[in-house]
Amino acid sequence: MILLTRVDHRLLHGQVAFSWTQNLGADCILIANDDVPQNDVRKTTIKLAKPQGVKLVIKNIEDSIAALKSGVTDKYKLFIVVESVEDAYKLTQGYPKLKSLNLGGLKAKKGTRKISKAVHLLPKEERLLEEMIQNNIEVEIRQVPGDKKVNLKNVL
Amino acid sequence: MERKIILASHGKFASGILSSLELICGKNNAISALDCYTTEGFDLKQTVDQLMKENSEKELIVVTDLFGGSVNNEFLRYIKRPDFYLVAGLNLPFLIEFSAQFASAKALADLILQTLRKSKEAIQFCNESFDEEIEEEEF
Repeated sequence: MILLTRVDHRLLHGQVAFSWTQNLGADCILIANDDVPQNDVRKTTIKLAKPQGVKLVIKNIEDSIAALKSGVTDKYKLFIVVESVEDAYKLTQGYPKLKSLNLGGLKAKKGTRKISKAVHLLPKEERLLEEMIQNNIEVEIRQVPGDKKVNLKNVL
Repeated sequence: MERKIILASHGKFASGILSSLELICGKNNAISALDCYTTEGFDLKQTVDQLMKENSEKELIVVTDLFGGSVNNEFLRYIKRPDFYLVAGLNLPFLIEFSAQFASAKALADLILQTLRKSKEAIQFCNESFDEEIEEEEF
C-alpha cells in the first residue's frame, strides 16, 4: 500500500526521514531516481540517512514502476520520494493507480514561480501538474505532516 | 496527566534547537525553551522554582544542555519529584524521536532510555561512517 508519494528536491533528509516516515507509520521508503543508483556519493549519503527500523529501496524510475506494477510492494506501508515533478509525472504515467502526490520541497531556480514557501515551479512543471490534476490525481502541498494540506489546484 | 517538555540551556541553545525541531517536525505546543543567563540579573534558581511550580500538575520532562552544568544542577534539586524526568545532553536526534512519541508513550522512563540509546548512535564521525559497507535492500 502506498501511503504517500512526495516530491522533494532533497530526497531523503530530516523532514522526510524523521518527520514523515514516523508520522505516516511507513515501514519502507522507495527512492525513485535515475541518478542516485549510479552515483555512489549520493547513494551512500541517502543510505546513511535512513531511519532505523525502516526498509530503504533505491531504484531508477523505470525499475520503480516495474516493482510497483509487479505487486512486490503491496505488502509494505510504502513511502515514495522523487526529486522532481517530471519524475512524479513519469511515475503516475507508468503506474496509474497512484492517485495522490505531495509537493514537499522544490527549490527556486531560473524561471520558476513561487507557489508556496518551499515550492517553486517551472511553467513546464505547472503544465505537467495540471495534467495530473485533470487525471484525478490529488496534488497537495505540505512541508511537514503538521502543515495544513493546500490543494495545488487552488493556488495555481 | 498532561505531559510537557522543557528544553533548558546556557544561552540560546534551547530556543535555537527548538526552532530546528519545528523546522523538521512542525510546531508542538507541549515543548518550550528556557534560555538561561541571556539577561542581566537572571536568577536561575528562582526561574527553575517558578517553572517547577507552574508545571507541578504535569508530567514534566526537562532536557538540559550539559550534565554537571548549573542549569542541569538547578533542576537536579527536583529529581525526586514524582513524574519529573531530567535528561542532560540536549541533541536534535533525541528531540526528533522523543517529541514524536512522548505524548502517546505508556512509560516515559522506558521511552527516554530507548531514545537516548538511539540518539547516541546518531552522533557520528562521518568520515568513518561513509566508508562502511551498507547493504543494498530490495523489496
